[in-house]
Amino acid sequence: MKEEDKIHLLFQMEDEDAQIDLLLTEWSEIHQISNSEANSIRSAIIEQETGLSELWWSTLYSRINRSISFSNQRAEQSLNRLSSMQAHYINISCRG
Amino acid sequence: MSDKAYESFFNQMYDQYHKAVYAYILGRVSSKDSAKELLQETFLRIWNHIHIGYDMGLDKSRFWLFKITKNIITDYYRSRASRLKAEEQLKANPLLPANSVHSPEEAYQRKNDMRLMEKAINNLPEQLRIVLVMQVIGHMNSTEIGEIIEIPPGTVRYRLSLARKKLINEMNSMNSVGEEAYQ
Repeated sequence: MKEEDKIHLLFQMEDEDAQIDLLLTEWSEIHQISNSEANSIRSAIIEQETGLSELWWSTLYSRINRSISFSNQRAEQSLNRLSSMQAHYINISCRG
Repeated sequence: MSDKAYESFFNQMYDQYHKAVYAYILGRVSSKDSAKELLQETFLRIWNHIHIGYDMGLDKSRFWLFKITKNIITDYYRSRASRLKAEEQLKANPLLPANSVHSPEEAYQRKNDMRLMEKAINNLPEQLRIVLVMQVIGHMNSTEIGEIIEIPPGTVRYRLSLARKKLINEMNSMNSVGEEAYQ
Protein backbone atom coordinates (compact mmCIF):
# COMPACT_ATOMS: atom_id res chain seq x y z
CA MET A 1 0.00 0.00 0.00
CA LYS A 2 1.28 3.46 -0.89
CA GLU A 3 2.20 5.87 1.88
CA GLU A 4 -0.52 8.36 0.86
CA ASP A 5 -3.12 5.55 0.83
CA LYS A 6 -2.07 4.57 4.35
CA ILE A 7 -2.46 8.18 5.52
CA HIS A 8 -5.82 8.44 3.79
CA LEU A 9 -6.97 5.21 5.50
CA LEU A 10 -5.73 6.48 8.87
CA PHE A 11 -7.65 9.73 8.46
CA GLN A 12 -10.73 7.80 7.40
CA MET A 13 -10.47 5.56 10.49
CA GLU A 14 -10.01 8.56 12.78
CA ASP A 15 -12.97 10.26 11.17
CA GLU A 16 -15.14 7.16 11.58
CA ASP A 17 -14.04 6.82 15.21
CA ALA A 18 -14.91 10.44 15.94
CA GLN A 19 -18.28 10.03 14.19
CA ILE A 20 -19.14 6.90 16.15
CA ASP A 21 -18.15 8.66 19.39
CA LEU A 22 -20.46 11.53 18.55
CA LEU A 23 -23.35 9.24 17.69
CA LEU A 24 -22.80 7.09 20.79
CA THR A 25 -22.81 10.22 22.97
CA GLU A 26 -26.06 11.35 21.39
CA TRP A 27 -27.56 7.86 21.68
CA SER A 28 -26.57 7.66 25.35
CA GLU A 29 -28.18 11.07 26.05
CA ILE A 30 -31.47 9.76 24.68
CA HIS A 31 -31.31 6.46 26.59
CA GLN A 32 -29.82 7.78 29.84
CA ILE A 33 -31.99 7.55 32.93
CA SER A 34 -32.61 11.09 34.19
CA ASN A 35 -32.31 12.07 37.85
CA SER A 36 -36.05 12.68 38.09
CA GLU A 37 -36.82 9.25 36.56
CA ALA A 38 -34.40 7.60 38.97
CA ASN A 39 -35.86 9.45 41.95
CA SER A 40 -39.43 8.59 41.06
CA ILE A 41 -38.46 4.90 40.79
CA ARG A 42 -36.81 5.11 44.22
CA SER A 43 -39.91 6.76 45.74
CA ALA A 44 -42.21 4.19 44.13
CA ILE A 45 -40.18 1.39 45.75
CA ILE A 46 -40.04 2.93 49.21
CA GLU A 47 -43.68 4.00 49.22
CA GLN A 48 -45.12 0.77 47.84
CA GLU A 49 -47.11 -0.91 50.58
CA THR A 50 -46.22 -4.35 49.28
CA GLY A 51 -42.60 -3.36 49.19
CA LEU A 52 -42.32 -2.70 52.92
CA SER A 53 -39.59 -4.81 54.45
CA GLU A 54 -40.24 -7.78 56.71
CA LEU A 55 -38.56 -5.80 59.46
CA TRP A 56 -41.06 -2.95 59.03
CA TRP A 57 -43.96 -5.38 59.41
CA SER A 58 -42.40 -7.20 62.39
CA THR A 59 -41.82 -3.84 64.15
CA LEU A 60 -45.44 -2.91 63.52
CA TYR A 61 -46.72 -6.28 64.81
CA SER A 62 -44.55 -6.12 67.92
CA ARG A 63 -45.83 -2.57 68.62
CA ILE A 64 -49.43 -3.76 68.22
CA ASN A 65 -48.75 -6.80 70.44
CA ARG A 66 -47.14 -4.60 73.09
CA SER A 67 -50.10 -2.26 73.09
CA ILE A 68 -52.59 -5.19 73.22
CA SER A 69 -50.74 -6.78 76.14
CA PHE A 70 -50.56 -3.40 77.91
CA SER A 71 -54.35 -2.96 77.41
CA ASN A 72 -54.94 -6.50 78.68
CA GLN A 73 -52.89 -5.77 81.81
CA ARG A 74 -54.84 -2.55 82.42
CA ALA A 75 -58.14 -4.37 81.89
CA GLU A 76 -57.08 -7.14 84.29
CA GLN A 77 -56.03 -4.59 86.92
CA SER A 78 -59.38 -2.77 86.55
CA LEU A 79 -61.27 -6.06 86.87
CA ASN A 80 -59.29 -6.95 89.99
CA ARG A 81 -59.99 -3.54 91.47
CA LEU A 82 -63.67 -3.86 90.61
CA SER A 83 -63.97 -7.31 92.15
CA SER A 84 -62.15 -6.21 95.30
CA MET A 85 -64.46 -3.17 95.53
CA GLN A 86 -67.43 -5.47 94.97
CA ALA A 87 -66.23 -7.78 97.75
CA HIS A 88 -65.68 -4.79 100.00
CA TYR A 89 -69.23 -3.48 99.45
CA ILE A 90 -70.76 -6.96 99.88
CA ASN A 91 -68.85 -7.21 103.13
CA ILE A 92 -70.11 -3.83 104.30
CA SER A 93 -73.69 -4.56 103.28
CA CYS A 94 -73.56 -7.94 105.04
CA ARG A 95 -72.34 -6.29 108.23
CA GLY A 96 -74.96 -3.58 107.87
CA MET B 1 -31.19 -2.68 63.41
CA SER B 2 -33.53 0.30 62.93
CA ASP B 3 -35.66 0.87 59.84
CA LYS B 4 -33.89 4.21 59.37
CA ALA B 5 -30.49 2.51 59.12
CA TYR B 6 -31.81 0.09 56.50
CA GLU B 7 -33.48 2.87 54.54
CA SER B 8 -30.32 4.94 54.56
CA PHE B 9 -28.30 1.90 53.39
CA PHE B 10 -30.85 1.30 50.61
CA ASN B 11 -30.50 4.93 49.49
CA GLN B 12 -26.72 4.64 49.44
CA MET B 13 -26.96 1.47 47.34
CA TYR B 14 -29.43 3.12 44.98
CA ASP B 15 -27.34 6.28 44.57
CA GLN B 16 -24.16 4.33 43.97
CA TYR B 17 -25.38 1.57 41.67
CA HIS B 18 -28.65 2.47 39.95
CA LYS B 19 -26.92 3.83 36.81
CA ALA B 20 -24.74 0.75 36.45
CA VAL B 21 -27.69 -1.59 36.99
CA TYR B 22 -29.78 0.38 34.51
CA ALA B 23 -26.96 0.27 31.92
CA TYR B 24 -26.57 -3.48 32.36
CA ILE B 25 -30.32 -4.04 31.98
CA LEU B 26 -30.51 -1.73 28.95
CA GLY B 27 -27.65 -3.68 27.35
CA ARG B 28 -29.64 -6.88 27.83
CA VAL B 29 -33.17 -5.77 26.92
CA SER B 30 -32.49 -2.86 24.50
CA SER B 31 -35.53 -0.84 25.52
CA LYS B 32 -35.55 2.14 27.85
CA ASP B 33 -39.07 1.52 29.17
CA SER B 34 -38.39 -2.14 29.93
CA ALA B 35 -35.04 -1.21 31.49
CA LYS B 36 -36.76 1.26 33.84
CA GLU B 37 -39.40 -1.33 34.81
CA LEU B 38 -36.73 -3.93 35.52
CA LEU B 39 -34.63 -1.43 37.45
CA GLN B 40 -37.61 -0.82 39.72
CA GLU B 41 -38.23 -4.56 40.11
CA THR B 42 -34.57 -5.17 40.96
CA PHE B 43 -34.41 -2.51 43.65
CA LEU B 44 -37.80 -3.56 45.01
CA ARG B 45 -36.36 -7.03 45.58
CA ILE B 46 -33.29 -5.43 47.18
CA TRP B 47 -35.54 -3.35 49.45
CA ASN B 48 -37.42 -6.44 50.56
CA HIS B 49 -34.19 -8.16 51.55
CA ILE B 50 -32.16 -5.10 52.49
CA HIS B 51 -30.92 -6.70 55.75
CA ILE B 52 -28.85 -9.14 53.62
CA GLY B 53 -27.10 -6.32 51.74
CA TYR B 54 -26.67 -4.34 54.95
CA ASP B 55 -24.78 -7.22 56.54
CA MET B 56 -22.51 -7.48 53.47
CA GLY B 57 -21.65 -3.77 53.33
CA LEU B 58 -21.87 -1.41 50.36
CA ASP B 59 -18.91 -2.70 48.37
CA LYS B 60 -19.61 -6.42 48.58
CA SER B 61 -23.35 -6.00 48.18
CA ARG B 62 -22.93 -4.96 44.53
CA PHE B 63 -22.20 -8.57 43.55
CA TRP B 64 -25.39 -9.60 45.29
CA LEU B 65 -27.20 -6.72 43.55
CA PHE B 66 -26.06 -7.83 40.10
CA LYS B 67 -26.92 -11.44 40.86
CA ILE B 68 -30.46 -10.30 41.59
CA THR B 69 -30.46 -8.17 38.42
CA LYS B 70 -29.45 -11.20 36.34
CA ASN B 71 -32.23 -13.29 37.93
CA ILE B 72 -34.79 -10.57 37.24
CA ILE B 73 -33.75 -10.43 33.57
CA THR B 74 -33.93 -14.22 33.31
CA ASP B 75 -37.47 -14.11 34.73
CA TYR B 76 -38.30 -11.33 32.28
CA TYR B 77 -37.16 -13.38 29.29
CA ARG B 78 -39.02 -16.43 30.58
CA SER B 79 -42.24 -14.53 30.25
CA ARG B 80 -43.44 -14.89 26.68
CA ALA B 81 -45.49 -11.72 26.85
CA SER B 82 -42.48 -9.68 27.90
CA ARG B 83 -40.39 -11.14 25.11
CA LEU B 84 -42.96 -10.19 22.49
CA LYS B 85 -43.21 -6.70 23.94
CA ALA B 86 -39.42 -6.33 23.78
CA GLU B 87 -39.40 -7.43 20.13
CA GLU B 88 -42.05 -4.84 19.27
CA GLN B 89 -40.06 -2.15 21.06
CA LEU B 90 -36.91 -3.15 19.19
CA LYS B 91 -38.71 -2.58 15.90
CA ALA B 92 -40.08 0.80 16.96
CA ASN B 93 -38.20 4.03 16.36
CA PRO B 94 -36.76 5.78 19.42
CA LEU B 95 -38.42 8.96 20.58
CA LEU B 96 -35.99 11.76 19.97
CA PRO B 97 -35.92 14.97 21.97
CA ALA B 98 -36.20 18.11 19.83
CA ASN B 99 -33.37 20.09 21.47
CA SER B 100 -30.26 21.41 19.68
CA VAL B 101 -31.84 21.00 16.26
CA HIS B 102 -31.98 24.12 14.13
CA SER B 103 -33.46 23.18 10.78
CA PRO B 104 -35.83 20.54 9.37
CA GLU B 105 -32.91 19.06 7.39
CA GLU B 106 -30.80 18.76 10.53
CA ALA B 107 -33.74 17.28 12.40
CA TYR B 108 -34.26 14.74 9.64
CA GLN B 109 -30.56 13.88 9.49
CA ARG B 110 -30.35 13.54 13.27
CA LYS B 111 -33.42 11.35 13.47
CA ASN B 112 -32.11 9.21 10.66
CA ASP B 113 -28.66 8.87 12.27
CA MET B 114 -30.20 7.88 15.59
CA ARG B 115 -32.55 5.40 13.91
CA LEU B 116 -29.56 3.75 12.21
CA MET B 117 -27.55 3.86 15.43
CA GLU B 118 -30.40 2.26 17.36
CA LYS B 119 -30.67 -0.46 14.75
CA ALA B 120 -26.90 -1.02 14.66
CA ILE B 121 -26.70 -1.31 18.46
CA ASN B 122 -29.66 -3.71 18.56
CA ASN B 123 -28.02 -5.82 15.84
CA LEU B 124 -24.86 -6.27 17.91
CA PRO B 125 -24.42 -9.69 19.53
CA GLU B 126 -25.63 -9.47 23.14
CA GLN B 127 -22.17 -9.93 24.69
CA LEU B 128 -20.83 -6.94 22.71
CA ARG B 129 -23.94 -4.81 23.29
CA ILE B 130 -23.82 -5.27 27.08
CA VAL B 131 -20.24 -4.02 27.46
CA LEU B 132 -20.79 -1.12 25.08
CA VAL B 133 -23.98 0.06 26.84
CA MET B 134 -22.38 -0.34 30.26
CA GLN B 135 -19.55 1.89 29.06
CA VAL B 136 -21.57 4.62 27.37
CA ILE B 137 -24.63 4.68 29.65
CA GLY B 138 -23.15 3.40 32.91
CA HIS B 139 -19.84 5.30 32.44
CA MET B 140 -17.99 2.24 33.74
CA ASN B 141 -14.42 1.24 32.93
CA SER B 142 -13.33 -2.20 31.73
CA THR B 143 -12.40 -3.37 35.24
CA GLU B 144 -15.78 -2.41 36.68
CA ILE B 145 -17.65 -3.99 33.76
CA GLY B 146 -15.52 -7.13 34.02
CA GLU B 147 -16.24 -7.52 37.74
CA ILE B 148 -19.98 -7.38 37.13
CA ILE B 149 -20.23 -9.68 34.13
CA GLU B 150 -17.42 -11.88 35.43
CA ILE B 151 -14.88 -11.63 32.60
CA PRO B 152 -11.29 -10.26 32.62
CA PRO B 153 -10.85 -6.52 31.88
CA GLY B 154 -8.79 -7.41 28.79
CA THR B 155 -11.73 -9.33 27.34
CA VAL B 156 -13.98 -6.35 28.07
CA ARG B 157 -11.60 -4.06 26.15
CA TYR B 158 -11.47 -6.52 23.25
CA ARG B 159 -15.27 -6.72 23.14
CA LEU B 160 -15.56 -2.93 23.29
CA SER B 161 -13.24 -2.50 20.37
CA LEU B 162 -15.05 -5.24 18.41
CA ALA B 163 -18.41 -3.60 19.18
CA ARG B 164 -17.18 -0.26 17.82
CA LYS B 165 -15.80 -1.86 14.66
CA LYS B 166 -19.07 -3.68 14.09
CA LEU B 167 -21.03 -0.47 14.67
CA ILE B 168 -18.89 1.41 12.12
CA ASN B 169 -19.30 -1.36 9.54
CA GLU B 170 -23.02 -1.65 10.16
CA MET B 171 -23.54 2.13 9.96
CA ASN B 172 -21.49 2.30 6.74
CA SER B 173 -23.41 -0.52 5.13
CA MET B 174 -26.79 0.90 6.19
CA ASN B 175 -25.79 4.34 4.91
CA SER B 176 -24.68 2.96 1.55
CA VAL B 177 -27.94 0.99 1.21
CA GLY B 178 -29.83 4.22 1.98
CA GLU B 179 -27.84 6.19 -0.60
CA GLU B 180 -28.38 3.53 -3.27
CA ALA B 181 -32.11 3.58 -2.61
CA TYR B 182 -32.10 7.37 -2.86
CA GLN B 183 -30.27 7.41 -6.25
